[in-house]
Amino acid sequence: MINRLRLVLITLLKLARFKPWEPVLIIIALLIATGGVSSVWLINEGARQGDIASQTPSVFANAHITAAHDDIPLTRNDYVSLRRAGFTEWIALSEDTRPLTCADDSGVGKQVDGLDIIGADTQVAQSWLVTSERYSASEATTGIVAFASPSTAARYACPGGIIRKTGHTIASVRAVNGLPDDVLVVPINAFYTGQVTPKTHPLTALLAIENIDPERQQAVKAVLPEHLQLEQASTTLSKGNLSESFRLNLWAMGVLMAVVALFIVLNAMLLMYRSRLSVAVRLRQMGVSARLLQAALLAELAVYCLISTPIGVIAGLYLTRQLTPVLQQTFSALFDSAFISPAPFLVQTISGALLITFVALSIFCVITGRQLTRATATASVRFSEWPLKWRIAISAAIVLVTGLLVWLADTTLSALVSVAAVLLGGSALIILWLPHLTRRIRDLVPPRYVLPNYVAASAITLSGKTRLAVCAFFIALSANIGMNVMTDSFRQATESWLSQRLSAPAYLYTEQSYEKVAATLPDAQAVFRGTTSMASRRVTVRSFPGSESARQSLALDAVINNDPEQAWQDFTRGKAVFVNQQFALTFNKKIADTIALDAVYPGDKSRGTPSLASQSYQIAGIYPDYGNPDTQVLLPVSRFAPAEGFSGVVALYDETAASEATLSALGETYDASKLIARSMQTFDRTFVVTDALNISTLLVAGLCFAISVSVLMMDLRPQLSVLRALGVHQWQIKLTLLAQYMVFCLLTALLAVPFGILLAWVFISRVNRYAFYWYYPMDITLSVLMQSVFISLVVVLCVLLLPVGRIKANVDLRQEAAV
Amino acid sequence: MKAVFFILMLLVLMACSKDSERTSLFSGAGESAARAQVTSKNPVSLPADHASHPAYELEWWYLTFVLKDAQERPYGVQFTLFRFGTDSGFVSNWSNAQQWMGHASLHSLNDHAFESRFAAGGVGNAGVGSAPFSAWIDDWQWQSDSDAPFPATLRFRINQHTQLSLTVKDNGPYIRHGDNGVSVKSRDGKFRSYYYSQPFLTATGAITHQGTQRAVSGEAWYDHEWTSQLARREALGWDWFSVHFDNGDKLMAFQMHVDDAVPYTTGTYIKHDGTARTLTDSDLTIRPTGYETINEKPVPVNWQITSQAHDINISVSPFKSGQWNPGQFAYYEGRVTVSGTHKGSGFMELTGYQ
Repeated sequence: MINRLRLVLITLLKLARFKPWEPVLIIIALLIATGGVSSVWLINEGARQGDIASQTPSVFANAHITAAHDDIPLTRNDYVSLRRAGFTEWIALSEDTRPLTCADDSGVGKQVDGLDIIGADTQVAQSWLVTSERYSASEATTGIVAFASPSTAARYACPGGIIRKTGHTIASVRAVNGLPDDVLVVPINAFYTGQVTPKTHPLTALLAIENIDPERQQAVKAVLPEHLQLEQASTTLSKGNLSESFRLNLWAMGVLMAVVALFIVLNAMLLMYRSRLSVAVRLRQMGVSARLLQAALLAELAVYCLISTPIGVIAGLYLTRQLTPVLQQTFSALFDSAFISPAPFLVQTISGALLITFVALSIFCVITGRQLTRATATASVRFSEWPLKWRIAISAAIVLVTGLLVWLADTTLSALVSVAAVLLGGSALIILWLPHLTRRIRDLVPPRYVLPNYVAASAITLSGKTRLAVCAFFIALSANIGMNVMTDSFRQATESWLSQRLSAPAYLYTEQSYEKVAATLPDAQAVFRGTTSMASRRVTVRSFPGSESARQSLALDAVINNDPEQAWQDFTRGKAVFVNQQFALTFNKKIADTIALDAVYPGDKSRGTPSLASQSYQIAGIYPDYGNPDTQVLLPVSRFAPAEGFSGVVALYDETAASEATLSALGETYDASKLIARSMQTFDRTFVVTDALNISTLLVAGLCFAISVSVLMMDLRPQLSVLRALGVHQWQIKLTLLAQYMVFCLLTALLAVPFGILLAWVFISRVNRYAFYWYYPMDITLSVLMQSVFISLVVVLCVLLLPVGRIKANVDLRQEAAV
Repeated sequence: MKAVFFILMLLVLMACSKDSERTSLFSGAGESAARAQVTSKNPVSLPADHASHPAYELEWWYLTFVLKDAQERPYGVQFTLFRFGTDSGFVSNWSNAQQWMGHASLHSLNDHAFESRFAAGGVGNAGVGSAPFSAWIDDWQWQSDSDAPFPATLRFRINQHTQLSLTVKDNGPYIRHGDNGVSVKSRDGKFRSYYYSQPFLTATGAITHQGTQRAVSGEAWYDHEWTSQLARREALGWDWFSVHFDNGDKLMAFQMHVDDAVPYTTGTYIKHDGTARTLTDSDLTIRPTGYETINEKPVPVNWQITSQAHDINISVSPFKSGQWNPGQFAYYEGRVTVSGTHKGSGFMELTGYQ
């Protein structure tokens, strides 16, 4: 039995070498599917790990012991006394906010913290040490090693090290969990190097490495000397679920691509079996049982799996590695989260991919085997069309169900389900109506044009046989149009919002204190930031001026009583606030609602002395704030301008009298137009991943179409031979066939346009709304639609040229006779 | 087909990766050829050598207690202060190049409390002082009245819920192992340490665990050892036994594992009058007889120790299962019961089995 199986398998493999086109197509399809899904899996894994890393509560949010007054600092002796009194849950922390620079002189950040990691025998510290050991095993780094959150570590990757002005150079930065962004943490012994000593830099705080219960708080308070004070843990920060939503979107795209790729495999297998039909019959005549033949075919597919799957997975890994820098930047900039280059676990990934692919192929092998048996039993498969009233009823049901799913979507998951419903509903409508539409086209072609008439008549039959390919193309194109319309709308909304928001001609970014900036530029409009909370959720606070020029720069979606003048008056008097869309949607608040904000602390931390006490405000306006992951409240600068909350950004209007030298002494000045251009560049980079997947999906769909055509060509050979015998030129036949398939594509594209627009609306008003808590107006641009359709048609035309070019309008009658 | 076969073979080879090997307990502590080395030219000198030896890579002050309460319930207690020399490559204004680690453990028949502490040297919250002798890390305090470690009081708490207060007295001489305190640990003499003990210790005091205080008393064993060689990566671990025989005699038995070499065995038999004799590799056999699975790995916890020269043939077995100290440096440290030609109790330390 085994020997016979081996013989048949060798025969099939020799046949594959003799006719390599079909197996190559299967291998390519498997490559695309495994490569695409592997890269999506790896990207999502990176996002998931980054998410976990970003959401790990920061040890810096824990309770602090600080100096009660500026004149008596917290010293090393205070720390030792507390530890020797048994309060070992506290570790020393020292901060240095002087600028850090890369060895190549580029600025990288502004804060390095020294932490007594050795004294913290906690899970957090141990995980850092494990990270450190893991790195030391893989790279021979010497010198001071800093720890940072994954997104910060990605930003601080300086090949030559990071230079501190007075302390020793930091050799490398390693990503660990549980640290806030924009902070480098070094062991405290490394912090106090060079000219940095405990005298020049007293300790900033003693940091609790765990939650301190009330009993323990009382105990520590009782032993604290007068010059030290205990500060409670700050509110836990929540970064939201942005990257989770990204991952869901990416999975949806990846699955979409895999489904389309599976269409190819199915078609390629049909093609291969059909071309081998004559050999299969001869094998059967030689006594090879149907079961043995099926087993040999399965074994052959296993060989293709073994060839294509590892290469596909490795290609997916390579793609992910190439995209990693872009993804890290995107996650950091857009999602305020991290992307960690995932460990590939090559053996497990390849084994898993092999198993899944082989199981899928085995199922397909059975399906195509049955179809093959049917094909040999009957002359042709007739496509029976449903009656009109049934088609209308089914169409109505599809539209109703899809509409309901879209209408009722109120979570990220249900929004994504509604996306799938739109695509599947559209596919079902295509299957129902495509033959009908092609029949209408045939009715339009006058009978005197024989060849076009043949094309139209043949198209009706083919419309039933190309359903798989047409559906794949429809799904890919609708998704493409939807994504393009959505991206374009988002782009336009962002650009217009930025242009309006950055109303000043230039902006100064400075590291100097507010006092110095205010003394140098008394007319400048500084931005102050703060942190508060509402219903135990973190809310960011920004100051906003009430001047006329500033009013022009804040677009308000809605204002109280539809009266902007009243809204601004209430705002500048401190009676009311403006909130961003994210705030309104997260807390389910509307215009004129009253909100109770907790105390507002200056800066990014909700600790220390608050700038404003808890207070209730009325919402006077809601403003769009695209891309901001935070809920935000604007307070008038007349009420909220704490010097310690100075954000380092100053708007420079024409009336701000300052020389270039003065400005450059304070910091970096940027033209608003350059800031907008830079922001839009970041924006465009963000969509590189989805664009790549989009194009890949289209290519896969085009390939699917080409394979379908190849299969159908075989059915058409006798008819084409007759046409050739009637004197029709080879090129005319090829052109005719090309036209026939392009008609299908055009019809599909026309149907895909409304579905693509619907999809874009679902993306913006449902997926974005529930995943990100903000949305933007949909902008349908004809050129974007045309571009999507045109590119897709060009892609399909290119891939169709291959099989159509190969066609020979004659037939090997001996082969047909054998069948 | 050849290519397919190659890929299959590759996958099989990749899947059959090697199991994790036995790792050295202190290999992460760092190695430096510049560190001081143990040599018989400088034997142990007391009381000066009770103090710290920062020129050496590793050092520890080790106390183990076999205690019982009024109801004869047995307890095993460990208190250890480790010192590591570090080589960070920079001079710090915060601390010196030493690091301290404290381990404290309490075993009753039903409970185990363990805590480890870490501290940088030169800061002030950990160290060893000599006049009078004291050793501390945070609030763990071993305080003597003189420049010798004993008599002393020992106070420490483990994880907030367990507190120990013990008074320790010595009633015999300090024992220098090997050649006047230079203890050779391997056949080629490459691995060696300065090593002396005080096995004649009695302890009384109280253990407060989960709010319940119990008076305890019993025997204790003190080791002070310092070296640079044991931090080498080839030093995979050791099996160490300290035994208090019921007849008042003491035994220290030690077996060192170095790479693939046959373990090297050494020990000291200490008579109740304080006279001691070094047991060489040929005098002493230490053989595992039973294993306990800890962290999914077999750890030999039952042993047979024999010495024909001293008519010793004893079985050593743990007084309870699971006497494993977790943490960054994990190892087995537990109280044992001794039976056979001699009866008694003691402590067993097994390192390198993680």
